[in-house]
Amino acid sequence: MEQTTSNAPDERISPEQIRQTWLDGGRRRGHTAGQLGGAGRNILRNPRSYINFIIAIFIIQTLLCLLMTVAELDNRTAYREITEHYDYHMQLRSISQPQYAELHNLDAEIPLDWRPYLPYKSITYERLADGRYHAYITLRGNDLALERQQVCDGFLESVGAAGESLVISYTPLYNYLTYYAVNIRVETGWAVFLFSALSLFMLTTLYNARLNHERFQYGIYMACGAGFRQLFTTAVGEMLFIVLLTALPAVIVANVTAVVLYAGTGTEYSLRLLPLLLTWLLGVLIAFFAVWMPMRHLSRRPPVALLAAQDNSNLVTSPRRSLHIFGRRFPSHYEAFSLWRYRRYLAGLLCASVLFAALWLGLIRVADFRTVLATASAPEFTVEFHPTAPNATTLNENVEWLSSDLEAIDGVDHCEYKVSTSLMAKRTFLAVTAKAARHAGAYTVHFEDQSGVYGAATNYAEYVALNEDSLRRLTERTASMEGDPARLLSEENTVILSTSLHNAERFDFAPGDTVLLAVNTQSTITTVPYLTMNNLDLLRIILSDEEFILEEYTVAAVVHDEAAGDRIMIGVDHGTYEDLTGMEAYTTALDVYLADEMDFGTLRTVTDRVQLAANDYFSTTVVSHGVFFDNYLTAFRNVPGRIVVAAYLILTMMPLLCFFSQQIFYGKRQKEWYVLRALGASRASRLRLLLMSGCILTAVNLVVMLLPGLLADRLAFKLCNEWLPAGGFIPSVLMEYRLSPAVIPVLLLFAVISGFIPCLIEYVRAKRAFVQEDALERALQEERDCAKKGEV
Amino acid sequence: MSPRKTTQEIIQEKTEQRLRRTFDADLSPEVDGRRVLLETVDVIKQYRQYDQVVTAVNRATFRVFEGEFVAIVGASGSGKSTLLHLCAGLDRPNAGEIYIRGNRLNAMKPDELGRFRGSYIGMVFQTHHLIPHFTALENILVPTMLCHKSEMSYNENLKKLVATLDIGDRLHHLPSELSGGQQQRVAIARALINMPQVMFADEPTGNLDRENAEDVLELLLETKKLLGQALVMVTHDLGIAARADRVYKMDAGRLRPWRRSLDGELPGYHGEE
Repeated sequence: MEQTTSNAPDERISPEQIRQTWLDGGRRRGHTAGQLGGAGRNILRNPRSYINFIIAIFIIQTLLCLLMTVAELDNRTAYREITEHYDYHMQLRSISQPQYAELHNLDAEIPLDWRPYLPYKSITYERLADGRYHAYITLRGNDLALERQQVCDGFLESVGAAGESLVISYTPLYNYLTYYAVNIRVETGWAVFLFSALSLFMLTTLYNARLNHERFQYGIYMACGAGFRQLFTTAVGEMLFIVLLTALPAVIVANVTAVVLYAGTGTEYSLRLLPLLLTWLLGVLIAFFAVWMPMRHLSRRPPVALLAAQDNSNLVTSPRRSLHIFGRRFPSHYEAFSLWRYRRYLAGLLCASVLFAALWLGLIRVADFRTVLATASAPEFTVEFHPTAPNATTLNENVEWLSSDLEAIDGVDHCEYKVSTSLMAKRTFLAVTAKAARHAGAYTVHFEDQSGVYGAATNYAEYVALNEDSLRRLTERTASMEGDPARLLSEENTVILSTSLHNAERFDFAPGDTVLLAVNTQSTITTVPYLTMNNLDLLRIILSDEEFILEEYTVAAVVHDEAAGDRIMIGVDHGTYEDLTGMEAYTTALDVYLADEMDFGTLRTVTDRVQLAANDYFSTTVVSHGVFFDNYLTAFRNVPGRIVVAAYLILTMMPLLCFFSQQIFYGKRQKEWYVLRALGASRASRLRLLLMSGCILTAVNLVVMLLPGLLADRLAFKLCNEWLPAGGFIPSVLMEYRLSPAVIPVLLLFAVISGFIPCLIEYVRAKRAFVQEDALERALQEERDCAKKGEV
Repeated sequence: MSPRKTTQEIIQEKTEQRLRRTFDADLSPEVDGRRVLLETVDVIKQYRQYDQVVTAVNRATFRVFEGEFVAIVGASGSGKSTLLHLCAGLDRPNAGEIYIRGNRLNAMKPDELGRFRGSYIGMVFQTHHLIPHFTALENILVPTMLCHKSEMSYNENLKKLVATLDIGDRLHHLPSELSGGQQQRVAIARALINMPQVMFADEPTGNLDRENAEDVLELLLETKKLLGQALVMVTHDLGIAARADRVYKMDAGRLRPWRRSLDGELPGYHGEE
């Protein structure tokens, strides 16, 4: 260490001089560079002390870079796939000859030098067999939403005036750029954020363990006058050096992995600067805060508290009384008592295990949900009818004919239609027995009728008109229907009820039960309050202030375990539907479901044929839901698979944390072991002690991971299956709760890795130490023998 | 024809053979009618660092009889603690022999030596070496887990130790919650709980005030007398050394008896440089 002042030979150097020399050295070399260089030298001289941090930061940077690179490649691959089939953004479907002429003339009249300023690049036409046209509009692509608006408001308004109303559909290219690409970036942003937060937690915990190991050393520094600034700048220099050291290898590994993953997709790979910069920046921020928080906490402790903690005593909770150690066995009871004393330290370790296990199970459940969501049946199109003078019979006949025509198209799997109206819209209710509603407390209000049989009322329901055709479809579609649904059409005053609300069984109905259906005869509530009230508030007002007629119906069949939103189904025949609602039972919408085997080319063909078929019937609009594209993108990106991979990667962070902490913990217990040897403990007992410790920690680890983990899993299930759909945040898709058979073996494996393997490593080290001891013994014995013979 | 042995004689012979095998036999030689509990013969301990050899103990030879108190004094770094560790079986010499109860320590394997230490040797370290996560009481009782002597009455022994060492009110405290002197007393109690036959103490009163130091010494001497222990103590305190039956002086690894003057005083010794 350099000295800034010259001392007389017998003058001792004071702590103040040491501190001053330290600071002066830093200033001379340039504070940050000097400390970074010094930190770098420390690390390169003692890489083993920093190996855990090097591995952790390398993994963190690799995964961050991989996340961002993969998102970028996702975008490119999906965009390439789409542009192979679509080079236009909007389509005007089946426009008439006058509309075509109007559009064509409008476009032709625009001067050439104005064209660069138009919101669209080009319009192309396709003449159909019936003399109508499809028009394909390619927008300029600088701001798609604005361009679309300008085209629709200005340009197409006059075209619409030339004939019937226009049917505009938007291609996957338009949807991708305005919606999906943005979503991918948002999702990636969230993933990067969450992973960064988890990484910060892990790195902070690792650093805390290291500080705990070096408390005495820091106590000396602080006793000599070092403050937070000096301690922190040295420490953060080490972490920043590791970030710099691992940045390039991490980026290389991440990009090579991305290239390998996308090798078969045909996507051209190019190195992008943004992910690299973001990776490095995030790495720096994570390292900075991972050091700042523990160091801040440490610097506020009095130095004497740190100086006293050369062993593990700071990890021990002060006991109220001594354990009954007399007569107990060594090493089994000894180690059990020891682990009990170190429970504060072990609790911290186990909390980390719980967190990682809960995150793992929760993410697996989310991946499961995404898989179910992607494979759930949803209509690709909805054909909407706009009859000017609806006649129920004619309309229903037309719907059935159109349904048959559509199902004859190659690529269409089946069609569904529903005639329904909600009880809330009709300001009426369903009364059930208290027993039937015992699990539906949040969806019912108290009800009293004269017979005393019915104790609860609900308006979380809808009337669904069923005829033979729709009843057949319902029966085919439903997995579990109890009772005889045919009774609905053959017997009077019968209903078919479902039992689930928000994907959970709420009502307890059985065939043969009776319910009351109310018909509102005098409503006093005006429209506006009705629209703003929630179901139960409205129901209470109806029950107290309005008049209604009650009729008893018998349950013919019950539908269980259906994907359910916020209404149960009350299936009635058409006549009953008209009596209860005062409306004719006809449908105005037909859902079209496509076959599973589909590609973009086939989709275009099917779309055109569906439109053609619908055009044969009066006033229809074909609405495209983009389900195929959604599912294609999800399948392509394999989001569930990525979530599962992320879940396992998160779980593997746990052993890293446990290894490092346990390594330090057992290192500090070395002295204790030597004391026990001095008191008479055998080597074999040391090995048994370690194995015992490993077994106890594994068992405890497994229990604490399993119970909270299962709870987290159940919570994630309820979140995805009930709570989020109830709030309308995600679609309602019925999931079956099933615990994967892999859960317990995987948790057991990680419990063993986290709890047992560190002890096993110590076991191996102890055995090696014994071998070295034996070798030393033999060498000494030889020396003694030689000495006896007088050769020395 | 040799006379046939009785069953009792056969059992005794077998027992003695077993005890010899397990080093539990009391093979202490007698010299002038007194049993020699500890004997070292030309013990050498050297440390090698690169090409330098440091001889910490150079041909140390001495005996300690049953019931005798031997003090070893010397300057810092003279090899006193090293000699003590060798005699306690905590280290192996490069040459020479060490006998405790007539059993040769060099003949014992590490585990046998460990068990022997637990049964017959008590050691008080200079820096206590208490187990940090156990209370004072638990630290005292740890040797009973390692070597439980069924014939002993631990309760009475414990009570007496606690009372004499005045640690009754600190029994349920961790070592980090005790002062240096209290830790030292706990370490002494731990060394004495199994009533060892040979007691080694490395500066046991170093951190204690005069009154407590006197109490501790009295306890050690009383225990020595009661059990017929051999007590070997390294100390800088000439007052304590003066009370020893014999005093040795360690000087650069060499052990020499320090003869008292005719008035029983120990002449010309300075404990530290």
